[in-house]
Amino acid sequence: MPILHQDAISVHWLDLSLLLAFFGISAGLFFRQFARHSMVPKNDPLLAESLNKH
Amino acid sequence: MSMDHHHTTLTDQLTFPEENRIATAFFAVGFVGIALSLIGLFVNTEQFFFSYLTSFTFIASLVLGALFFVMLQHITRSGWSVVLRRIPETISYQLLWLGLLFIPILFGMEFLYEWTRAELIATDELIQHKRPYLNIPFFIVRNVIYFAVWAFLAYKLYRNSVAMDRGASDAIDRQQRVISAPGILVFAFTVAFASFDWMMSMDSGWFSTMFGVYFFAMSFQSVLAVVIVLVIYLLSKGLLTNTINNSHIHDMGALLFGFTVFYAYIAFSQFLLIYYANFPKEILWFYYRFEGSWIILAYLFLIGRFVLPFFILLGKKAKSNHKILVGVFFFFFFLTGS
Repeated sequence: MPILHQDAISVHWLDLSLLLAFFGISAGLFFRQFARHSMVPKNDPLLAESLNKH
Repeated sequence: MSMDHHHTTLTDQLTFPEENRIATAFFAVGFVGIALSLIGLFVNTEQFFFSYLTSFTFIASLVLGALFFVMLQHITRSGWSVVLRRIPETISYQLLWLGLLFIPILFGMEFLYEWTRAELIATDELIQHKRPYLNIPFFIVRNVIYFAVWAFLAYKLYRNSVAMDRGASDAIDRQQRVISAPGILVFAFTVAFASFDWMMSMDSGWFSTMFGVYFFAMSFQSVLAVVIVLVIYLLSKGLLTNTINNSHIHDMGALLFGFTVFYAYIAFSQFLLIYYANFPKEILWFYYRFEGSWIILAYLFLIGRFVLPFFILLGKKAKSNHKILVGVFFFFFFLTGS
């Protein structure tokens, strides 16, 4: 961030490790939750409209 | 992919089969990141908190963009997006725990926010002037309210949607709209103020009333790319191939194209107004970003978040071309993360 490193672009290894931490945990939680229910809202009143979209 | 026949019933397998393997792989990546970051906390505490805030804001922006997508579909009664709506619903469901990840930021406030430092409060008139808003207790209260509101909206919309899987209900369908209509208004205010608090207040001398919209535009543009990539991933695994077709992907691509233009409009408007007025306090944000090698990132943003995606997604075929859309996603992912 320019507010911390005003002179030049600085990519610290903590930028990458924390991005990995947040991305890994949130993606893992997403897939775990995604697997718990149907991938499609199967009784939604507008489902037929969506299925017939071409 | 089935695109040439009309059908009104689901013929695909509806449960995601690989949850253990892929979720475990991502958790492993996440835990490696956590372990390295904990070492960094003791090696360079100040850098840790700046990097933490950057990554937190990045993930929060995606999750909030997903919540907006879901509410937008409900209040407009969008039929086209139903087959892929469970993806943003599940992304936004993470708002239930995201508030907990904000807690470490409270311990790093003295590094991140100059308006918390006693020596500056005593000497800086501008910080003194902003004290009624920029003070630690009110900052905490505001953030508790943000996360409580977002978690409530995400929880209700997701749980109602899942409840309908057990049987169609007009009452639940109506409730989704009743929640989303005021929800989208509350979302607009809370997201704008959260962006002021998390990012803009890092430089307490700088302000832009457009910053909230700028943050929203970037988050929605990014989450559209994420949803597209997840849909393409499912199709590549042979899932939902009779349910989601290229027409759905094309519409998502068109939405992505539209919000690429919207992002550029907001970003340029913010820049033009500040550049034209040329007030010393207002130009600080751009001054820092146009100095030294930071200007490389400024141009990379211009090219990567507008020029390239605009011309790439201009054509009809590109909006449903899986390889092009995945390429655009990685560009957004890199640039938003940076």
